[in-house]
Amino acid sequence: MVDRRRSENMVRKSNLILVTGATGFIGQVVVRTLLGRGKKIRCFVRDAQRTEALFSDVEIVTGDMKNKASIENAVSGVSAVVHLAAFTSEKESTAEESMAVNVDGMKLLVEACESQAVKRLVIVSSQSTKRERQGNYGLTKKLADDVVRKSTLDWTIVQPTLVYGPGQKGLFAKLMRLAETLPVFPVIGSGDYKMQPVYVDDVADALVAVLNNNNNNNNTIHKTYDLAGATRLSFKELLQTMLREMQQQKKIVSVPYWACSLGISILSLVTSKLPITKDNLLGLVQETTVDLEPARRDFGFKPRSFVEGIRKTIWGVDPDNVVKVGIIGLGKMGLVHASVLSALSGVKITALFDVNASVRGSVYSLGIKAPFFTSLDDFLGQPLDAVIVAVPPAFTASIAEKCAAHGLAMFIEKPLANSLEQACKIQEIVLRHNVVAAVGYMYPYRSLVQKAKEILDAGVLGKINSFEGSAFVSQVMARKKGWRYDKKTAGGGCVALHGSHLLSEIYFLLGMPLRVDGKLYFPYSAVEDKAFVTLVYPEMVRGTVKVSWSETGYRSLTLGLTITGENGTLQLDEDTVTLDLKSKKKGYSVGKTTIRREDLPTFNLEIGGEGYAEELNAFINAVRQKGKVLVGVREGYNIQRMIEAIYNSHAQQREVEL
Amino acid sequence: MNKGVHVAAQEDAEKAYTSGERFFLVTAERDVLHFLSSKEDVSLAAIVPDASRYVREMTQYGLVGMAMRKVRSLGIVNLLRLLKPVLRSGLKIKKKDMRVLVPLLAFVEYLELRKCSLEIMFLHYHLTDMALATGNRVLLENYLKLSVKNVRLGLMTKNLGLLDKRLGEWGLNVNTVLAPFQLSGYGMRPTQKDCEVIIKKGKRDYYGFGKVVDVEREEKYAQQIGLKEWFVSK
Repeated sequence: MVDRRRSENMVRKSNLILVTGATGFIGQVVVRTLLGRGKKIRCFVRDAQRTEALFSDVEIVTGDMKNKASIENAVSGVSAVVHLAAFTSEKESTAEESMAVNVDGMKLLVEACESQAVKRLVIVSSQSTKRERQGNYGLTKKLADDVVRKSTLDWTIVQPTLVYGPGQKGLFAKLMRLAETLPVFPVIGSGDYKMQPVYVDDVADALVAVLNNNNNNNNTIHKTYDLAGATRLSFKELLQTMLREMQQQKKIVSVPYWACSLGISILSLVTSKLPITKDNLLGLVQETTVDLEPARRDFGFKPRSFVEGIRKTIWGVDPDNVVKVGIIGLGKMGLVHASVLSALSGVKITALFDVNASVRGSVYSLGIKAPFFTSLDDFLGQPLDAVIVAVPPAFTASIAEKCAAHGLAMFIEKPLANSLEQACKIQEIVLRHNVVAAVGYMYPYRSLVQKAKEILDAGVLGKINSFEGSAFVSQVMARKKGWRYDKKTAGGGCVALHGSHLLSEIYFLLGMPLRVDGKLYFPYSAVEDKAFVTLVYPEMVRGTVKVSWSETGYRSLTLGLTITGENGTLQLDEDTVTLDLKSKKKGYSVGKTTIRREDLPTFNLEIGGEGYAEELNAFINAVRQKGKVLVGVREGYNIQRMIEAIYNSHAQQREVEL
Repeated sequence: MNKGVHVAAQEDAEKAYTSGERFFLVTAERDVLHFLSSKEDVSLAAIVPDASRYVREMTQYGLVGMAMRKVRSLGIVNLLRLLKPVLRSGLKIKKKDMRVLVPLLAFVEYLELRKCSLEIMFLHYHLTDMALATGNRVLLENYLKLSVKNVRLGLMTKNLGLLDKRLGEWGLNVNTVLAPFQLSGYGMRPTQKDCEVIIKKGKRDYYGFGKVVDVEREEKYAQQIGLKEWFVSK
């Protein structure tokens, strides 16, 4: 027994509440709710490290319900006890353990409270105590309730029905996991027996209200309360609602009660980790009557409906405000975008599509879980507001056509298409269907690029004379295979894949050039490995651009851009913007000024690299507000014009007009 | 609080060693490791697996092809060491289960790093953050269960707030965490203040990394907020 984090200054007795079973499914929510109401909490747990990981600002006392000394130690100095700890396993061999923890443990707890004058005890019991046929859990909880009722304490017993809510624990979480993995969903017997599940937050709120004991001036002491949700429904209806809200189209099949009971009995001989316990089974087929009136009257208990609760369980937020996104193409970029979307609040990935069914397993193993389709039509039949199109550019236009026809907003991974003709088609599709569309050029979202734009727009450099840019990465040092090296599918080589990022930066900062001259080099691939490009702007402003994916010493794509104006130069790289000015302008002094990435504001999320979270966040906001994005399909189309012009210039061996 | 150095290239490692640095944060880059393994007075913290290289190789060779290339590059002794974890998760490897493959790749790099004086192995932030974002507790759990001798296993993240929240929800015990820390607040997500509060709570050993100009000021800041160690990126 270890006493941890016990403050030297004893917490005033009237403030400290002991919670047993604090790391359990209900316990975690109860502790968080109490902490949220400003209560001081002591957790009585077996695993201190796990508790430390779960909560900050709680006092932790380790021990267990079979150890008298540890219970006495836990109770010392508290003003009230909320008792949730219980042994729930239904293995025959663990009946003794159930008795020891649930009943004898309760005796020890009551004795400790009585001996230390801790009067207030609130215990979470179960509806299973009211059933005719009981498993170990129901039986021992009933005996424990009797122990409490015979005590001299100011006790209150709450008996919730099936408690559900978000998280990995509890029967409901198991049902949801089964719904995701099984091809059909089994229902025990006819499934017509009624139940009234209660949302975990409602149970926690009830416990806090009972502890406060002053709602409506009614006394909750020496009373037993039923706690249930607002909706009474059959088990079959519950499953149908759950599957509907999870967007799982599964058939529900009946399995006879005896078969389930037999299966559970056999399995319980070998494992205690059953998807459903015998007590769960008994609970599912024996209806109990609940009376919520006393709870309503005495502490204003107002549970939510099942639909409300299940939506919060599955979606985490009000589903009406959730942007439902599908991912088309589960390669590297599809997965990066899926990860970012998983972390953005108010977004839910509702469908996945890839022509290659074999990626499903590894995608799921990354934690990206949504119904998976190899048919685009089936995918588009899912509830969707927006899609991420992360496929080889050759396939973007046909996919965009279908998605736009469904009124879906689109985030299209760059480059927009494999040719200008296809890019033009996509732009036309987007305009015709009037849908929000973004293209995945993330550099303009980066803080340094935005800073450079701000400086240029303020006229700090004066008239621009010339610029030099480079985009280098060590990627192709020998002949390579794959769609990226096929011009028809990828739309090009290093210019389309990496150079387009630099072109997007130049377009964002300086606008569209008038003419382009491109020279391409093919040392390793059928597509260009290196390119040397000249961009010509009005008033004879010329810029040169070098692109290569065959440069040594570049672990990742590295862009550089130096812009020279009448008043000096602006140098933009991955880490800094450096100004070198001839005269002071707009607050920037003469000589060198370096603005580091570290000096600029950071977006509150970064996954996969800087800019990805920013661009997707902007896209989701645009979907919500039907607004515009920084890099839309118009910008994507113009960058495609620059790419195509480079290829045409090389083919025609002359400068081409844009 | 101690100070180390974060290097990505052999040239940087050589320069840092010459200037007296002895604690290095590295990826399993062959040249860097070759140089550092020849120095007896150097200790290492490593970022594994080298995510960007794997992404590049995966794009070219596919997942299995990439794994096979890696396996081939190991010596016979290391291959034998690898046999047990591979056999244990054989079917899952075949099914390309990332919850098994990522820890396995980390273990492969551990085998390469063993020749150096390795103290800590951090899971690369690309993978940590992806797992945190998608709720992939099992991947992190499997990584933290790797059988490595005398090496602490930690997580590297660029989203400390998200990490703290998720580990709390999952009840996952992680003692060593590497994240960006800068006086300017750069990379401290969701906010600098949130990150400061998290490390001041002292639930774990926090290590920081970042590019800095004024080392002295940054060091003072790192000390003030209670960082265990701090790696200056070169």
